Amino acid sequence: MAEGSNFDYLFKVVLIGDSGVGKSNLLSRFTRNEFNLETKSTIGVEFATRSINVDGKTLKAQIWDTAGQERYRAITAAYYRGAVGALLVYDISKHATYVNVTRWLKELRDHADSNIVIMLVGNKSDLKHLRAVPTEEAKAFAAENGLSFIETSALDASNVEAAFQTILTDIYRIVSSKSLEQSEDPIKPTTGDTITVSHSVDTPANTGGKCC
Amino acid sequence: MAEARARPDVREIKDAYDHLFNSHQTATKIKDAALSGRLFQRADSGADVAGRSMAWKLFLVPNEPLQSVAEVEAVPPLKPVQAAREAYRALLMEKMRAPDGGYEEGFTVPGLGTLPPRTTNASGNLEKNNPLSLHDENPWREWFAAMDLRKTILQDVERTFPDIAYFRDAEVQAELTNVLFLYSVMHPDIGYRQGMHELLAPLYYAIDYDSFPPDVNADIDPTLKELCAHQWVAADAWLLFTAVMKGAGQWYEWQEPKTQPESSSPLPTHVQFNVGADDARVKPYVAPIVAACNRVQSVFLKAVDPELWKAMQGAGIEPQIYGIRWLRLLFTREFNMQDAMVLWDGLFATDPAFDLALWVCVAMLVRIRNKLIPADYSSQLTYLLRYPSNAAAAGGSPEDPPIHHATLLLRQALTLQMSPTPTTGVSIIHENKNLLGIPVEVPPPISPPVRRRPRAGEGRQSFSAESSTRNDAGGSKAAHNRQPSTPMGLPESLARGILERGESLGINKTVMNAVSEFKRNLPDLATALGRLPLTPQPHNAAYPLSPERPTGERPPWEPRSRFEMEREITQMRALQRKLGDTVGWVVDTLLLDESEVQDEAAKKTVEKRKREALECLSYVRDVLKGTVTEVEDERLIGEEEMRRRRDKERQEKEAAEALSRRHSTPHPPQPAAAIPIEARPQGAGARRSQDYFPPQGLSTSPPGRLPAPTPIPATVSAPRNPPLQSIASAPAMPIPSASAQPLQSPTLNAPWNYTKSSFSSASSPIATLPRVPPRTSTVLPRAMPLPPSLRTPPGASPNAAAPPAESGMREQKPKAAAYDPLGAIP
Repeated sequence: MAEGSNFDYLFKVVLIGDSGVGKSNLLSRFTRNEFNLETKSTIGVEFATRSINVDGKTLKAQIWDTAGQERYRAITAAYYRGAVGALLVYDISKHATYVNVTRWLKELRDHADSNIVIMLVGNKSDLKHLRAVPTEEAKAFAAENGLSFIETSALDASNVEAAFQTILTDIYRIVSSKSLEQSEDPIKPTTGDTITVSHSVDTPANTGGKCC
Repeated sequence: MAEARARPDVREIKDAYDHLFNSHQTATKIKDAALSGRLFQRADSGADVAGRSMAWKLFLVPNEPLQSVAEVEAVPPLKPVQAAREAYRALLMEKMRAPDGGYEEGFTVPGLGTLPPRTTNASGNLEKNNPLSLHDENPWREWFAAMDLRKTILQDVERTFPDIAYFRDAEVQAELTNVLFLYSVMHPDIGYRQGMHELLAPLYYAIDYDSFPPDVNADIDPTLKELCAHQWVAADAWLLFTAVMKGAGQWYEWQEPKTQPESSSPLPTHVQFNVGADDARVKPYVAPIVAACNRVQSVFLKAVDPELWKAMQGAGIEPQIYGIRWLRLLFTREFNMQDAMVLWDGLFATDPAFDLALWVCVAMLVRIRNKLIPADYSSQLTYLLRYPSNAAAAGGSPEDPPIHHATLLLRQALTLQMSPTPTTGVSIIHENKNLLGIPVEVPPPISPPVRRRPRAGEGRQSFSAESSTRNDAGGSKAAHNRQPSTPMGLPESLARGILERGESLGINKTVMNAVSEFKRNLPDLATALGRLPLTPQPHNAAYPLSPERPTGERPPWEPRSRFEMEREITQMRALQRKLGDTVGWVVDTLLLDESEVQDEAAKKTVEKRKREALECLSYVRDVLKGTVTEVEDERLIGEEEMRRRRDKERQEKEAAEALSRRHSTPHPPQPAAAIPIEARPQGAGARRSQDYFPPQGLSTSPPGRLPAPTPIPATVSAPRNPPLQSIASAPAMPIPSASAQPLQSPTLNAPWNYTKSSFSSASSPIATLPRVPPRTSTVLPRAMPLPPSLRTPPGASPNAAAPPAESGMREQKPKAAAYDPLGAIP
C-alpha cells in the first residue's frame, strides 16, 4: 500500500445524468463501498479515486461527480477537461431521466473530447417493480449511438464494479493500442487543436499565471 | 414530529430579544458583536441559539430608510417584516393558484393556516383554458411548468440535511418548497438552482426555532410576539432568503442576464446591465461564480500567500471546482452547522453583499496551506472538496481566551480584505500557529515512493494484485526520472533544447510536459512515445504525468506547459508574419492602377491579380477569424506572385553561385558528386517543414519539383523564431539509426512544423529520395566565403540530431549542398 501513488495510467472519468439518478451513490459504492439512501444533493463537484488492475497494469481512476439538475455551466469546462470516460447515468424507474440521455450526449459532444469513451448506465436496477425503461430499448439505443451499456444498482451493488471495470478497461485498451500502433504517421500536428480560446474563458487567470 | 422541533424556553427568546433591542445597543455594536462571536452568550452551545433569527432580521432587513444607522439604537424591523409577510401571502396565493382558480390539495393560506377560498375565475374560453388544451396560450401550460418546478425543488428539499430530523417533517418540506418556488418564479433569470435549498434551510430553521407557538400566553412584548410569530415562519424565511440571495444570487447565475434592466432580479449592482449589446456579444459570458472563484485564487490568494497560490496553480487546481460549493452554500458543507452559523452571523452583520465571503475562502485556504502545499493534484482536490474539519480545531493559549475558529476565520478574512499583502498572509499563518496550533513550517513534499496519503476509495477496496505491480513500478520509476544519456527520440531531443536553456528540470518532465495536453494529444502522444527506441517503463509512458514535484500525478488536463506555450507562440508569430506578408502583398497589388495600363492584356492581368489578392485577403480574414485551422500557404499568395517569388529565389541562388564562381577561379569547378545522397534530405526535409522557414537560400530545386505545399514568402525567416533558435543551438542528440528515426533534423522537423499536408505527402524524408540534386550546387568550387545574404539561418542548422556515425559528413555536406557552394566551410 505504501507505493499507492504509483500507477501506470491515470484516467479521469466523469459521471453525468439527471439529478437524483444515483450518480453520487455509484461513486461512493465504487470508491468506498458505501451506499446511502438519503444523500445530500451534490453541489458543484465531488471527486474520488480508486485504482484497479487490468492486465497487470494499475489504472487509477479519478472519478468526478457533479450536480445533475443543471448542466452546471459554471464548471462545465473544468469538469470535462481531460476526461477520457463518461458514465451517463439514468434511472430505470424514471423514464424522463432516460429521455434526457440524448441531451447529455449532446452536452458531451459539445464539451468533452470527441474520443471520450461513453457508457450508458441504467441505475436502480433493484427497483424492478417500478421499471419504466425496458432494458432492450436502452441496449438498442446504446448500440445505435456507439455506447456500451449496463444496468446497475448502487443499492445492492450489482454491476457497479463491472461498470467501472468495463469502462476503464475500454479506455485502457484504446490507449494501449494507440501507443502500440507503429503508425506511418509521425506525430500529428496539434496546430489549431490546442488553441482553444473558449476553454480559457473560465480560467483566464489560470493559464495566465502559468506562462511565466 | 414534535420532538423534531425543539424550541427554547420562551424566556430565552425574550432574553435574546431584550439583549438585542432593549439594552440600548446601537446596530453597529451588535454587528461588531456578531463579527467577534460575542453576539450570543451561548454561541458555542450548538446550532440552536435563541434569538439568532432576530439578529439576522436586524442585519438583513433594511429598516426605516435613511436612518443614520450607526448611532441609533437597534429597533426590531417590524414594519418591513410585516410588509414582506403580506407580500408573501399575496404572491404565493397568486402563483399557486391553478388556472381554474383552485389550489393544490393541502395548500393553506400563509399566515392563516386556513384553506384558500375557491374563487372560480375560469374564463369561459374552454378552448384555451382547459388542462388538456394544446393551445399556445393555455394558462395550464404555465401551471404545469410550475408544477414541474415544484417537483424539482421538492426533490432537493427532501434531501436537505438528511441527518437533521427537523427537515424530514413533511410540513417543513412543503414550506421550504413554497419559499423556493416563489423565489424562483420571481427571479426567472436564475430560477431554482441546486444549493438554494441548503441556503434556505438554516434560515428557516433559525426562524422557526425562535418562533412562539401560536398559543403562547406568557407575558411578552407584543412587538416580540409579532416579530417571532410562528404562523409567519415561512414568510420570514422568504424575506431573509431573498435578502441573502441579493448577495449570494450572483453565484447562482448561470446564464447571461437579460440586458433589460427592468428585470426584477435582485442582481447585485456590480453586475453590469448597461453593457452595450455589441460588447456583450463580443465578450464571452463568464459566470459570476467563476469570476469570483478566479478572484479568490488568482488575485486574492496570490497577493496574500504566493507560495500556496503557486502550489495550487502548479498542480492545476481550478478554483471554481471547490469555490462553487463554498460560496453557493456559504460554507455549510465545509463546517458543521454550528460553526457555519457563527460564520453566517458575521457575514450577515458585515456585508450582505458577501464580498467578505471571498476573503473567508482565502482565509480557509491559508489555514490548510500545510496540507495543500506539499500535496499533489488529487490530494489537493480532496482537501478542498472535503475541507478538513480538524484543521479548524479551536485552540487557545492560556492567556488568551479561546476563540472560536469560525470567528477567527471571519477576523482573518476582514484583515485580509483590508490589507491584502503577503505580510498579512504571514501574520495570519502565525496567528493560526498561536491560536490553532498549526505549525508555520510547511511539511516537505512527499517524494516517491512514499507513504501514500489516505485517499478516498483506495483503502480497503484496492486489489491484491496491485501491490506487486506497484513495487516494480516504484523501483523503476526513480531510475526513469532522469535518463539524459539514454538515446532519445525526436520529442526528447527537442525538449532537450529547451532544457539546456537552464531549466533545471528532469528531461522526462520536459518531454512529458511538452505533450501533456492529454485531452487533445492522446493519440499523437501515444504514437510518439510508441516510436521511441526505449520505452522501458510503460507506466508513465502513455500519460504524461511526470510532475513538477516528483511525487504524485499531475493532472493531464492542467494548464499547458511552458513548452507548449512556446510552441504555440512560435506558431502564432510565424502565422502572423505570414499573414502580414500576405496583406502586404495584397495591398501592393490593390494599389496597382489598372487605368494607367493601356494594354488590354496587361489590364486583364492586373485585374486578375487584384481578384486573386482579394481572395487571399478574404482567406486571411478567415484565418484571423479562426474559421480556418489549417492554413494553406498556396491560398495566401496569388499564383503569379508565387511563381515570381520562386523565380526570384532561383535567380538569387544563381546570382550567388555566379558570384562564387567568379571568385574561385584558381580552382576549377568540381563536381559535387561527393555530396552523399542522405545529406540531401536535409534540404528536402526543410522544404516539407517549410511552414516557418524561409525558402530563400535553402531552396535549390526548380519550383516545379517542389513537393505539394508551396513555400511561404521569403520574408518569413527562422532566425526570428526564438524558441526554434534555441532548440537549434542545443547540442546534438545522438539518434540510434536513421531508419528508426526518419526525421533527421529535429529542428526542421519539429512536430509543430508539420502541416497535415506535409504529413500525407511523405512520412519520411528518405521516402522523397531520390530527388535530383540542384544542378547548380553540384558544380561549385569550394573555396568561397559564403555571402552574408545566404548564410544559413540558425534555425535551419541540420546538425542537431545527426546520427553520430554520419555526423562528420552531416555537419558539412548539407551546408555545402545548400549554402556553401564554394566549400568554404571545412
